[in-house]
Amino acid sequence: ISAEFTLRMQTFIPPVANPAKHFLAPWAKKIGKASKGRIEVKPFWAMALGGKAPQLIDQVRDGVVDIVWTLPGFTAGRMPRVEVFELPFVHRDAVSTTMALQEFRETHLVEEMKDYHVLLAHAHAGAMFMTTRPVMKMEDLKGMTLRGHNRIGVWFLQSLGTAGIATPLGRIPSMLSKGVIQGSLLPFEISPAVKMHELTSYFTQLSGDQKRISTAVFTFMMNKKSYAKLPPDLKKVIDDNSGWHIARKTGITWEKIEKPGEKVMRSKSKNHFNTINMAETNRIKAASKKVLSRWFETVKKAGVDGPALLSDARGLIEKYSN
Amino acid sequence: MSGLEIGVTGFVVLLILLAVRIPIGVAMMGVGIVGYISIAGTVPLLSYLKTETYWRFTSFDLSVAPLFILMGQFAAKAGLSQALFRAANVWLGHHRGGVAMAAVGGCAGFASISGSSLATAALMGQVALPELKRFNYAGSLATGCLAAGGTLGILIPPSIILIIYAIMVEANIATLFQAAFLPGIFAALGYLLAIAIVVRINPEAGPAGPRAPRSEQWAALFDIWPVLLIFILVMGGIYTGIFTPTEGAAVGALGTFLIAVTKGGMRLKGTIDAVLGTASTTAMIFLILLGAAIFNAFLGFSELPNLAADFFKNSGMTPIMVVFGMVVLYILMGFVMDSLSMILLTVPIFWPIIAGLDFGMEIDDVKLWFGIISLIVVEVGLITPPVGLNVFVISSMAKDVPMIETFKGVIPFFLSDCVRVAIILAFPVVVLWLPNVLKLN
Amino acid sequence: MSEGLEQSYRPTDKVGRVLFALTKALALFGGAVVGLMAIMTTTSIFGRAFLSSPIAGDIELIEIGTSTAVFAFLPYCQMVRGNIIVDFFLASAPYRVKSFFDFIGGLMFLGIGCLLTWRMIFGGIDLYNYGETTGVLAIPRWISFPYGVLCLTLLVVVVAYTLLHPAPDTGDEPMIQE
Ligand code: NA
Ligand code: NA
Repeated sequence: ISAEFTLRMQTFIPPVANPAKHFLAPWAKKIGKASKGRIEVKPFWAMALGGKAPQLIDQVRDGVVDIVWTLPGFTAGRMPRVEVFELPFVHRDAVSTTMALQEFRETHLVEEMKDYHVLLAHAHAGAMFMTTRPVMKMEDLKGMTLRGHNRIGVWFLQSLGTAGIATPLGRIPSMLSKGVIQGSLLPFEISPAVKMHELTSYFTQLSGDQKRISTAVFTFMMNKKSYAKLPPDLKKVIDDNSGWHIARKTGITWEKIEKPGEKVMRSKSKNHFNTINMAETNRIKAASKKVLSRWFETVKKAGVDGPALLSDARGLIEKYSN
Repeated sequence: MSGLEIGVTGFVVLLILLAVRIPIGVAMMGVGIVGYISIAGTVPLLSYLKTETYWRFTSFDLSVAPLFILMGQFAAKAGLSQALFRAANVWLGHHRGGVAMAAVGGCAGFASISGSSLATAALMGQVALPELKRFNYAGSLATGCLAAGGTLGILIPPSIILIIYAIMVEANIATLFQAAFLPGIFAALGYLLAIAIVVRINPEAGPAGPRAPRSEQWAALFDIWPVLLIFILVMGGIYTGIFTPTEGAAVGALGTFLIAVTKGGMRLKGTIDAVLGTASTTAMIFLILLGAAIFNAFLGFSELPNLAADFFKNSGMTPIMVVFGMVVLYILMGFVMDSLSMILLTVPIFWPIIAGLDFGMEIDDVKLWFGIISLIVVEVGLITPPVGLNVFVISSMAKDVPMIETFKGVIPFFLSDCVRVAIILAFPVVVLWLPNVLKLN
Repeated sequence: MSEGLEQSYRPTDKVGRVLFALTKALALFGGAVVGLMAIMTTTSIFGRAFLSSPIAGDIELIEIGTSTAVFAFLPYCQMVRGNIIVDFFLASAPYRVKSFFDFIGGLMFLGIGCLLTWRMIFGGIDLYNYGETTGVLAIPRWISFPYGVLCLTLLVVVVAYTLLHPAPDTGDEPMIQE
């Protein structure tokens, strides 16, 4: 028997990736079950329905597909307010940032996300240095070229005096093996997919209550019309599986999938797992202040009050950390 | 109609359109658009097309294509084919069948810096055909060895087809080049062996030429230094990982430009010709790529690739039988189609099937292995009748040899290709050995 | 791939000569862009090797360069009939049959060309309204769109021209059009 409503869900990751296995595929199944088979969410991995990752955001807005899982970082300048959570040393862990994002959405992102039915905005557990050479102090970073996941990541690297480049995840292995880059900012969870355990040797976190540098924000969104045409009871099925209802659980999932990733990284005896001491951590934090002012300047042009957003975001993360 | 039925219908319509001379990119776009609308609707299609053209062309990975094509254009203008053939000929020409072997050797040399089969066949044909005639080589052997030797242009990296395949299956271009290198060398050796066997059976077909003095041999070898320089710098740089493919292609384009100006006497007109040749080849490829993107988006909606993958996974066929079936299909398609469109048409369906089967290898290794097998088999299409583009190129130069003779002359080389495919099917290590050795950790 | 082997179709009528000159000039501009990409990449290698500082955002520049060149190449390719066909099943058909199907192919290309051009205008407007930029260099994405639309428009005009001026009868000669 075919479902009353078939929703096409497209994303850029392959089905074997952790977010696909532990979040998207189970979510699709859950919707099917909760709707008693009246909704079928059909996942299409690795852009099987056409286009490249940066096009996902328009695909869901225009109804090319019904649901996408993507990153605002792919399309710089389109959701500038979301970036506040990606600034260095704003993030603490996946749970508090994901919870904070839900409230922040209601207060600050309504305009920015008005073209989409947002199911969830969430964050990963946080990026650290994964490098071919040891990083124990700021000077160790000089002369390296590292990969950041978006423009904020690149600005952060530049603020520490290292060359930063932004490239898609999939290109990390070839660039590392060719020496184009000497490392990347990444969380553990995704690092096996790009063979960081083979290609780098030093996994470095920071001291204090923010051991990771920053996070990346993901958006899980539905087409507005696809949502609107569902009857009330099926709308409720979607609602019960989005936003506040799943935020904490999703945050926990992302913290959890760090473990298997870390295990793979630790499987090679050549690999070192270091913590930069408090004094050096503070130097890095001080240097990265430049990123904040750079971001304030950039978003000011779009009429965004950066400092106010930042203090709100920090307050929310504080609130949900307890 | 279900999505699957629409998908299959779309495929059949596409084949019909191709048969009636509709340009390949246009046919793919046309069927893709209509199929997309019939499954997903008009509004989604119109939205999808807003940025598809831009994003399809805005590609870092594909930037290697115009750069390598430009490099090949300059290489053709650099007058290296003459030197390559002469260097091979003074060393091999005094053996029985030696001049034909020299032609294959020259093709292999040129192939190591150019990504084009037809250009390799045409350039080497120009310099080698008169010599082969002078030494009374049989028409079939003379034209056959050049038509087959031309395919080395794509079998030995750099190779545009491999770049496209790499992008489609998300493989590393440099690793694929590494994987293709040994099979490419074996292809050249296999062709030399084929010539040796032909002249052993029929000594009249390839008489021996005079032996060149030692000094002349070394001098001729010295003359090919530009090819060696470009090969070591560009391909060596890519194989060992010092350069990314884009960087290698960029250095190669500049390097061959300098050699074409200094050694080949290329001037403004020659440069313009090279650029225009690059323009039309690049545009031709990207139009087909855009068509393939739209067609594949439609296939995605039809779910045909998933269903085909599931079908073969559960069919009980052994994985190697599935690959063998694909090889046979490629050979059949190769009778009438060109290699680029075959790859673009089949890989989106074949690759998910292959990826779902267990070959006892890592998925990255399967990518390399299947890619090289596909590359060899689609290249065979260039020398098989009735449409064999390399044969056409050589035939148009050797007016005194009937085309049927050339197709006959190609048979030993075709058999050598078959043996090579069988070896690689049975022993993937031929493909995987070099990438494993060159892995930088 | 033909690389200089395609037959040269030099139009003799006035419209054709103008179009030929235009498409050729645009193609040469695209070639210059590819040349610049080669020079920039080579410079970047030296930067990496000796100064340990690659050009920031060189990947973005290469991407934009590639699309700039490809858009510029499309009209010329159609002008010289560089787009590849499978010439087997109708190889020995009469010229009239061939030119009939070529006309159908031309019509299809014309329709699709118009569609792509039309949609690309809206893609540009979208990206302009959203202010989307490249990551590192913050180059606005929309700026490629007016240029792309112009190139596609010229392509459509050339397709219309080639539709009205079919390729001459080449008889039994195999066409080498890869
Ligand atoms: Na080659
Ligand atoms: Na053939």
